[in-house]
Amino acid sequence: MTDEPMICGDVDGRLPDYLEETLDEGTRRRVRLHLTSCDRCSSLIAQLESIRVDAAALPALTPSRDLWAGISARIETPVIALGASDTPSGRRSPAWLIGAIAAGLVFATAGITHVLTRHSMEREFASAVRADSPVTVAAAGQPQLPVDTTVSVGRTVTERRRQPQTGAVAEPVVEEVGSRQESAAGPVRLVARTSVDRTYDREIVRLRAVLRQRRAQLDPETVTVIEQSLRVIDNAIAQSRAALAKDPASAFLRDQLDSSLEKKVDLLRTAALLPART
Amino acid sequence: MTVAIFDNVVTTTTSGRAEPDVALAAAGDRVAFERLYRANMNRVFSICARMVSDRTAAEELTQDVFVRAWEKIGQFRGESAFSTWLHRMAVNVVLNSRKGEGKRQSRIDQDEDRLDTLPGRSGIPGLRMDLENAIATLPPGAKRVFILHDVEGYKHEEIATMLGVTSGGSKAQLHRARMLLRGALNR
Repeated sequence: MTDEPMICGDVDGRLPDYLEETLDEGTRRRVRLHLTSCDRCSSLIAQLESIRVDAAALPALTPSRDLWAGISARIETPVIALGASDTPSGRRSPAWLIGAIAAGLVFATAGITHVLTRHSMEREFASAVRADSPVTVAAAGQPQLPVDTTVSVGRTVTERRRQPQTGAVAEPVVEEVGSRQESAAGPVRLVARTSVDRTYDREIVRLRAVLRQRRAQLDPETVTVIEQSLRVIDNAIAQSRAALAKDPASAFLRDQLDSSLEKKVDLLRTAALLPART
Repeated sequence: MTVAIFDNVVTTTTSGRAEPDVALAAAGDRVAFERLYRANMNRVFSICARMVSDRTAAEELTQDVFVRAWEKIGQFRGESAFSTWLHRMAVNVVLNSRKGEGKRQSRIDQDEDRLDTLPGRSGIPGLRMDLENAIATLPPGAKRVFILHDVEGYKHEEIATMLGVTSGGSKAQLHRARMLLRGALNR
């Protein structure tokens, strides 16, 4: 029975397994025997084999445009070269790309900052309420402040712990390598490196980087107004921090500081999204 | 040969040469990730374009694939080549996008069962259809299996897992696709 010759219908039913080479040897031999005498079936199998071979050899297709810009804008905070010297071959990014990156950055970080600061504030407020005594800021001369890890925004941004002056509070400083802090109030002095402060600081540095990159595209008068407003806010931040250093348990001062920081972030976000001058 | 780049990222190319860009990208280096994009974009785009038969949609899906890859690259353990991992991700992204089409896709899948021949190249009598165009006209189920098996080289067991069908179902769809293509190419 197993040696009975096959007819075309028998072969058709076994074609998938024949092509996949999953037929048992006896059946496979019978199919081959049929193929030697059937042009229809041998032609059919040859064509199906050809399709399989051709499909495996199909060339790769190419997109009609470079998709990287869209991908880059979507993957977290983009790398932004600060200044021409940081840009390879002196080539600057096109204005539309910078604008898109700025918008992506601002919207991506705004929500995160809001959630993180809210969460941290609630947690810290809860722990302050639980404490039996007022919160003690680092003892003079013996600051035990956490040091942030490096935050990369084009240029390296580092946070270092500065040795406090006599009678002064510890002063961890956020400073951009190769450039001075732009604030007229001087380096942002922090009385306590809470996670809220760090979150604000990181976003402020990022937004400042975006703003610096876009400065040439913005109206100079607008930039001047922005810088003046930032100085006012920086002064308010410095005063709030100084007051908070004297009265660390004050919820009012904490709220004032957070409010000033939020204003600064909002202003920077708005500035980063301003349309380019025409 | 395998080469440890980082503690948790071990990868090699088929030649045994390590892929340092994978480790760099896993550590957050976007420039290295762009190099990986440049090296793999055409193949990823090819998978997307052939599966959805729409170049614009395929370009969007290709971007989705690389964004997903950036998010997940830290989980890449180097158990296969990076390109293999990436292409598998591309297939998943495409399949998930198709699932998202919901009822419309369901109707298409039902309609495809009624198709037993493919349209020829419309408006150009006598001109034979090439394989690429013929694939584009396959019914969705047969097309998916054909592309995954004959073009991309996946095994029926892998395809069955990806598509949620049996291995036998995958074989049946493949044979159907080949027969439809043969008819279209001979027309």
